[in-house]
Amino acid sequence: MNTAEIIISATLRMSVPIVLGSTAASFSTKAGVVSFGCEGMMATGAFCGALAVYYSNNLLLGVLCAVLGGALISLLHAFLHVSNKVNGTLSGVSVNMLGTAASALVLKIVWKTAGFSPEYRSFVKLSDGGLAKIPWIGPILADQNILFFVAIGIVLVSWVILFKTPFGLRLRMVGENPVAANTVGIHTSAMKYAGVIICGAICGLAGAYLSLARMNRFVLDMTGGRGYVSMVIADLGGANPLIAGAASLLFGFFDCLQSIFQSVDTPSQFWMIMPYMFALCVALVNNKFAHGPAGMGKHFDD
Amino acid sequence: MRALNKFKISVLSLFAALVIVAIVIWISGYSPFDIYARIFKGAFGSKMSIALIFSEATPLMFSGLAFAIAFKARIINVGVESQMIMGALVGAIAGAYIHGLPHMAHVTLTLLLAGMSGMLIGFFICFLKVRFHAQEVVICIMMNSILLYVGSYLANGPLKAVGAGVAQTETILETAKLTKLIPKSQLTTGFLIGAAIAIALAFILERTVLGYKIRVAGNNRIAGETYGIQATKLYYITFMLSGFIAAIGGSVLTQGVIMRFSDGAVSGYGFRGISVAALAMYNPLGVIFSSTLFGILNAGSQAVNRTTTIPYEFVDVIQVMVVVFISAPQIIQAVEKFFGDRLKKALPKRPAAAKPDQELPRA
Repeated sequence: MNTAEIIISATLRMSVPIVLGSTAASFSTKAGVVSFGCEGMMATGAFCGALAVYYSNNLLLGVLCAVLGGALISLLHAFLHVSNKVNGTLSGVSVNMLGTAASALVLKIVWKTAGFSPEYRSFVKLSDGGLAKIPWIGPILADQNILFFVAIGIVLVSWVILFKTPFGLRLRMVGENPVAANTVGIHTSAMKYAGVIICGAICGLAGAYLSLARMNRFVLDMTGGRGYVSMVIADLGGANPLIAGAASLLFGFFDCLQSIFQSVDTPSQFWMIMPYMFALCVALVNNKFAHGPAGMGKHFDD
Repeated sequence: MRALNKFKISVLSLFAALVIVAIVIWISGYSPFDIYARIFKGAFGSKMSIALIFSEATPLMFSGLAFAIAFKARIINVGVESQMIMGALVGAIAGAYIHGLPHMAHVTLTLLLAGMSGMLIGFFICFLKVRFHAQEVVICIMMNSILLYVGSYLANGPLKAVGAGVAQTETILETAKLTKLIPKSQLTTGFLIGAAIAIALAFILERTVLGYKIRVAGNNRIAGETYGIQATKLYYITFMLSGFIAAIGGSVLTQGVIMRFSDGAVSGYGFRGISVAALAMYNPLGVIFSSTLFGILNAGSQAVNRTTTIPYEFVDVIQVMVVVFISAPQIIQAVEKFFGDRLKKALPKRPAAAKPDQELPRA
């Protein structure tokens, strides 16, 4: 592969968690729930996936457990914010803190180590198949693993669900105006629960990508703020998975710069700051062309 | 009555968190009673361990206060972490490179400079929020990451101590170190400074116009604006105050415990402050006690961890569960009602207590 192909391939690899995360955040945002808990859901997913693969040596089971783990912890977010009307940011913070604290605790109990797990089986690149023979994009696709293609599928399906199905319409209506949605007979709390749980499940998958594909072990704080970045990116794309997915590529580019330029004679921290700087700048220009739903954080009986 | 109710919820929340974590400990094959007893013994075992309680509580108190004061105006300052890192960094620089000052002056100047730097971060976050209408939560989180790496860069590069093997700055001068309250321990006057700030904050909130405005803006922003309270101005003031306190906390950590800025040494206190503030029901005076309580947990679990292999990470889980229960008091109330009803049914009916005599008019 030449340099351009290496950069494109690394960009795609780095952006998969953000693509999934921003798709997840879109569901939550469209349902009018702050998607601040994505970080904790990702961390939980990464940990559950790692635990399952370590014990079963079965990657599919690992991914399933990651999805379940993410969905389970997202229930806490939904329970606090939707059922108990806790401020969405505060309940998101609790989910994030619980994700980190609980993984650290179980990590210590199970593996008796602090901060990282032993190595286990992980997803491999698809270089064996016939993919590499496709002209132009072949080598780049062959450099990815199966979760990359799953992620693309999920983005497309999510877009269809959100914008082309009655469920999506109702979800968006709940997000825009919960009072009106309640008036026409939509169970707003159930819809918000659905949005948050789907968000948690996809975040869990994003976590599984981190712990099962990007690395072959679980490291504490391996999400490294990707959940927060996903939230910013989802806002940037107006909670549309297609636009957000495209925007994630930009983030992936800034993330891959760090691994490429680490050998160059500049401080490595400079490159590590880049993704966050990018996200900060995105957050600043966001309000110019993207608006969240009008009913963000509102309940039907407020 | 309302204060009493809040106190009850706060105590019950802590109890519920302890019970949940006890169940987790029990499932993972340890005895929860044994562990809690060891923590208690470890925390109160010796004079040094009691000193450790308060020195562990000190940074938690500062971050708890910073979060609590912001929350009074319904601002969720998740950027406490960044402000603490900034404070610790500026404290380390001012402590190591300002020469020729007497002890008191150097300590005060260092603390103030650090506080100002935190205020600056707070101002910057507010400015971005007000000017660009961005979500402050996002800005805060990104500032946390950015400052973490800026600190890491400075400790690794330009400010790295001569001959140091790891990433850390020069040790601060003797004149900049906080006075130790108990010799050879890490307990310094930092704890007293924190308590003084807590009392000052309580006074500001309850007895001054500014505090009144903060509370009004927090409880009902629209009513406040109708009344003539400038929400934006108040937002700036509260956020900068919060940043000031957080940064002093960072500097106290530098001047009292670490004695230098080292890579990653200050991280993690920002989010724990949320638990501290929540357990205190966002009351500054309560923060003194809630941070001491978490100090007991931390000091005790450190002692336990020295002698056994029991994971001390469950202390963090306790702290998170406290936030969950405090922020949704409905859960606690429902549980209380459930057990209260059962208890009433189970107990035989007692004769109604005789009413206490009415207060006699004084002669």
